[in-house]
Amino acid sequence: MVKPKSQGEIIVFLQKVIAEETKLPYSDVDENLGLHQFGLDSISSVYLLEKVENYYGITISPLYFWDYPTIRLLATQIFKENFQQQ
Amino acid sequence: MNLWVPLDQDNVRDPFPMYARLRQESPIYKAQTGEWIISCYENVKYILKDQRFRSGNKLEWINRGITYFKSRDRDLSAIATAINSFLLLINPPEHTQIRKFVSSVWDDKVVDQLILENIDILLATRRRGSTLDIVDDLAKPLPNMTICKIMGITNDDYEKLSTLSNNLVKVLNLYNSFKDLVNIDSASKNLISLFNKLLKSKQQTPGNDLISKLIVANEQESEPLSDEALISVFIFLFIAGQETTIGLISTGLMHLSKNPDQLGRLIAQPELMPNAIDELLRYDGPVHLLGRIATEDVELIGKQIKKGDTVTLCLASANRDGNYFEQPDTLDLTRTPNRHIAFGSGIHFCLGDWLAKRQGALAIGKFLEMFPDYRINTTNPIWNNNLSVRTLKSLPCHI
Repeated sequence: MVKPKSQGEIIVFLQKVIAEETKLPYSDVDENLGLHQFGLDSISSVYLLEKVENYYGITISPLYFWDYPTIRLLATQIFKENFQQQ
Repeated sequence: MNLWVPLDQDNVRDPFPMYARLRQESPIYKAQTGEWIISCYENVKYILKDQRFRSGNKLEWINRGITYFKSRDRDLSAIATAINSFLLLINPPEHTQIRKFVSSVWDDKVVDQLILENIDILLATRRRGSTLDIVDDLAKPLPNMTICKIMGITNDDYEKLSTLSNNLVKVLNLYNSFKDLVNIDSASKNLISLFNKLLKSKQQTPGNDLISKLIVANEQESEPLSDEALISVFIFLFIAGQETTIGLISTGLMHLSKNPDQLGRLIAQPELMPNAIDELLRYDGPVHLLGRIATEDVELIGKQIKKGDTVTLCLASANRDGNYFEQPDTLDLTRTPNRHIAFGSGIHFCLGDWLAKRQGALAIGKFLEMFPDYRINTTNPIWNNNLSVRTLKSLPCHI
């Protein structure tokens, strides 16, 4: 399990996983674009979040795909909720 | 800010403020997920009765998910096999056929004696002055014991059946994680195998139980159901009354203890019980949310619901709608009329309503008779993380 030091690390990991999943070039996976714009939906997001959960050893609400609909927003929330020093 | 936050822990503990805000600010609310959240009584009931909205959004999602995950080398197909003939998720003409077929043999409404015996087994050794857990010691085992007896299942593995049904029912949750799906798939496989064995043995030697009656009736149908569909019907009948009855009994006893004047009245006048059960179902019934899909474009109070859109009906919110119920947030066991929609409405109206009410009434009635001074030990009980069917995880109390 990996413990990220910043939300930036999570952003990079999400970009990598989404690029793999969608077969888009990594450089096209913009952290500020809507997750839907990469062709992700309610089913592929389940698979994506599972990968993130396993990599960091955390649990993520299935609703976060919609509640935090860009890579940056999602990464920020995941970092804040699980790794930020109080 | 999103008005729809159904997985938030505070909202699972107490979703009613969220429902109240939805009703007030946006009774037909387009959620961040794309689905429509319907929270007022009038609209919920309208959609339940309108044939332009069909059931099965979750079944379709599961089927699409199975295809997708197959391409990722994960086989979750047992889920679809298990739930394919769930009455809750299917539509006419299939729904009409299966519902008629089940109703034709499930006429045995003389269950009081059986339920009372089960309650006695669970409570007879309990003594005043001690503690028990209303969920683990009464609400959870009771419906399991009852349905096993009705269906002709030897209940030597109650814990296992209970866990399997608790896992499978998560399929009715609005949103699942991958881990949920893996657990649901595993529960599906186990339940399919268990009911397959029962089917085979009862085909050989039918008894006087519901499964045997269904098998015999099915053989006489002009177009009998396949074994696979029959097993799915069995699984549905088995689990449909589990979590829901757990909810009715335990959530009911919790709310009664929070309303001592109402509790006192019910203890003094046990004949109020049928009315009390309806009010507990209205006030906080176990089924909070149901899904539907629009089969064509529909305009509803100025909102354009498009063909294919998912709508989520908040039954529990509708039952607290101040435009329909006077003092909706007050538990009033004498409320009449009480046209709550805790069992739904229209063609999918709960097939087991009489069993649920009877089991709830007898369990709560007997519990109050034996332990009228019970006190819940916590002000903040733990809920299962599921708003669609909302149940307590445990409810320790002093009796």
